Amino acid sequence: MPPTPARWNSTTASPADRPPDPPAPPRKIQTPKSKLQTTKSTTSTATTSAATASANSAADSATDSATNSAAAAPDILRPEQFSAFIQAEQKALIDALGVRKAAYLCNYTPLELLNAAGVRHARLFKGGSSAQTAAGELFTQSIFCDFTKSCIGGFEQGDPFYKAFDKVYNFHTCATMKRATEVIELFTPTRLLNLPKLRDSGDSRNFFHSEILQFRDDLVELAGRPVTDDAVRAEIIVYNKLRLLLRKFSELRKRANPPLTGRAFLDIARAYYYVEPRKLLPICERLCKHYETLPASPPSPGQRQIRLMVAGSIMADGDRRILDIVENELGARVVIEDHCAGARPFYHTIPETGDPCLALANGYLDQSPCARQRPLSDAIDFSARLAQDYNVDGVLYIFLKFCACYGVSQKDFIARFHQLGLPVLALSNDYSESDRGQLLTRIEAFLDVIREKQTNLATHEHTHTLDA
Amino acid sequence: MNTPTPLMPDSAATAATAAATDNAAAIATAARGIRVDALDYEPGVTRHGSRHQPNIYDAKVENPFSQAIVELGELARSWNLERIEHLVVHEGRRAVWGGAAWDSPLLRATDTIPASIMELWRKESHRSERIAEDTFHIPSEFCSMIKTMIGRWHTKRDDPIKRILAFSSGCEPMSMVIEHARNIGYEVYTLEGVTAFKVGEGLENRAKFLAAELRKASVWLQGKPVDEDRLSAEIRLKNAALKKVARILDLRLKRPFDIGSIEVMWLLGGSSGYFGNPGKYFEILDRLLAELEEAAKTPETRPSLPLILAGGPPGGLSFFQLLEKADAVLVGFVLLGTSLYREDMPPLESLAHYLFESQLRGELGEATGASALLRRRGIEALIEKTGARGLISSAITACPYASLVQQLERNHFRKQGFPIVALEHTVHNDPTTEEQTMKIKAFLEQLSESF
Repeated sequence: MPPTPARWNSTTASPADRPPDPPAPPRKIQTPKSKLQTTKSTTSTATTSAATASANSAADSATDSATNSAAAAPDILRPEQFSAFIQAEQKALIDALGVRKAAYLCNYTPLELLNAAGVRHARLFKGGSSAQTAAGELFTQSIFCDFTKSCIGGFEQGDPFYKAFDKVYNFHTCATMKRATEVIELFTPTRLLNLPKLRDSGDSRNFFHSEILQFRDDLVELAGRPVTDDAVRAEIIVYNKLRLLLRKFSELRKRANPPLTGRAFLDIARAYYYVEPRKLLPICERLCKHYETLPASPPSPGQRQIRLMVAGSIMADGDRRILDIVENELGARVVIEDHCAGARPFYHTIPETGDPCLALANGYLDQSPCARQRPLSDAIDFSARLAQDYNVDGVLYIFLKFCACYGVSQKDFIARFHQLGLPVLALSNDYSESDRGQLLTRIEAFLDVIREKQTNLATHEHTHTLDA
Repeated sequence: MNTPTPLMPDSAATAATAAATDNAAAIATAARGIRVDALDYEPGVTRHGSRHQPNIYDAKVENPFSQAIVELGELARSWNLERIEHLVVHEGRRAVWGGAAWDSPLLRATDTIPASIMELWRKESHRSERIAEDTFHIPSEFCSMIKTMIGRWHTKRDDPIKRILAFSSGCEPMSMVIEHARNIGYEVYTLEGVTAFKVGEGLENRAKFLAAELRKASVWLQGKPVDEDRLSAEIRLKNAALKKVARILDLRLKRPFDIGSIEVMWLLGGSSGYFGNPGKYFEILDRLLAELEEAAKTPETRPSLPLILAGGPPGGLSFFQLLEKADAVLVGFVLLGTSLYREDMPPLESLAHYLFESQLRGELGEATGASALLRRRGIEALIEKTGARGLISSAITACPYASLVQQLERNHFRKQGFPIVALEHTVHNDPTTEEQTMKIKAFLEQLSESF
């Protein structure tokens, strides 16, 4: 008989038995500069050239400004506190005067250039609200993915955060986002740029380089100031550190008893898209160090939570419906995500030497790919590797309705997970609120399947041991 | 134009008559004296009793005005997948899937027959769609076009055409089913995606890159780079065809009933690959031009209802019948490219610039990354030029991209006070649905009353 699902088990259903909130980290706050130096020593071992030394020098000066930024940074002790922090950052962006503001839609946008240009910037990826979706539907009709409808809907609704930007940039990932950008042009100036699909082609990389140069030139015009190579190099180093740090956060979840919930990780990760990196770095460093010092004790017998991976389309900022069902209602744990608002964007490092814009072209094309990129097998391989690295028990393959990248390719992804012996539940998702009950039932049944599989495996192993 | 007597060859007329007798599927449009015979069609959905219909390229249209049109229909019917496969197997010709649109001169210059993607749903489309959902797990919400593509590729995976030329600027659903095709054994060559999003934004650099991509593609097609002189000649040939078709459409404004809207679709459809027979295609164009130049001296006096069709024809033959019954004539088509290839630059760059111009005009559809916002400018120009009184904006059901364009156009033209009807359709050769019929009829009635 499979174990009782956590939410029906009186010994595990109480909030107290959910993943325990971590104890607060020590209040002593190290200077951000020393923190940055600690982290830098990790990356700088890989950098040897004089050019890198110069870039590190630029980063040091950046670190000095980080010290100033950190003075205003809040003392964040728990992931849940990120929400208020981000909200404050969004408000600050809206209210900021005398600075140009640029938004972007996709993870293939080199943030290093935005920062080097001195513009305030943020990703537009709010979603999960049926009202915002409906507002976007005024332009798209219904047969469009709800995320892109939400991108448009934010403008149509007059969301002050969306209205705050002087320009919206989008590297052409999928046709849907391209169309959405064209509609956004009705509200705010936009700039679309080509993103090559063939990540293995040298010619495509050179072409991407030329598109990134166009992006840089456009930013120069927007910001009204030059963007120097040194400034870009400094930003590459800062963002590399931040991505590495966020990857470390994610990898805490490789532990048998992960100290972070899936939701907590997303709470931290979303700050990457809203907060100035020099402000975010010291905050994340403090928090990460605290988590790292927690004992990695295995779960108590019978308390092991089912470990799940969420793969597929974007889980937008605000789209937490399935995550809440999985973690809060059914007691399982999302230990890794392979989508472009989860851990995936933090698995790449930009080369810190050489022509910085060429480095951005190579680095961003080398990032763990969206399924839109070719060869598709790279995206599937990456997803499979994450599933193995994080030792998941099953995969929730979630694609937004009308998301071709993940909807049409679901067969290939699922086949690979099955090859690894992983059960998969494919869910076609949107931001409506009417199918919550159905989702709950399906996910609950899926967890039962995983438990049954684990029980059978344990029984088989026990019998095998006795036979031996 | 000839006198209005049926000019169908005796043999064809006999066959058509026999078919009409034997086959309850014969469709008559008495109002125009034009008969459409449903020969060689695949059984499809039955509606209103017994109606089936062929693909518009398989239809027989009895045109009482011009023998050239009759021969154009024969040419269109003769150029199909079976014919291309025959050429590959028995004459050693080379063929690939794709390359039958903006890039068609490159294909011709490399002695490669482009098998149009449209051939994938010309037959067996319903079966193909089922295969896509059952075998490839394509979610039901996606469009019939991509489903029939992969379904048909699946059933034809052991047939002679095993190579696909893909273009990355196309929509993601299409790109993803091409990956499925790759997995079942097709050799896929992907042209890197390059899109011109706005006029003047770095086009020269993008054109040079795309030209280099096309040169690489030519090596894949024929084992060596394309002969640029030959490519230039092919570009000139296509420009000549485009000019003649454009002239025919202009003359047709004065004689709207002489060439039916289906026949115009054939003309447009043949302007890229000439139905495999450029000599015959050009001969037909010249005869039509001569006939129309003469006929246009006496403009048509019977009133017609001029319309513009943006997108593919919704509902196939039935759609055209509905129009003809109401004396409505399609005088403007926003489907294929309307610009000419530039002849003042290296030919590969000329192809790139043609693509960019088309994208910026919102032409060639989502398969090439056309602009959603800019298509309406082309429509407005067409309205100005043709005096059209209404716009039929057509999209394939469940195509998010076309639906967005449609919605933008609906919002825009309603504000302008210009009549528009938005229709959806599948790629199947099904008669118009009740909803489509009702919407078309209501739209035409509304326009007729105001007329």
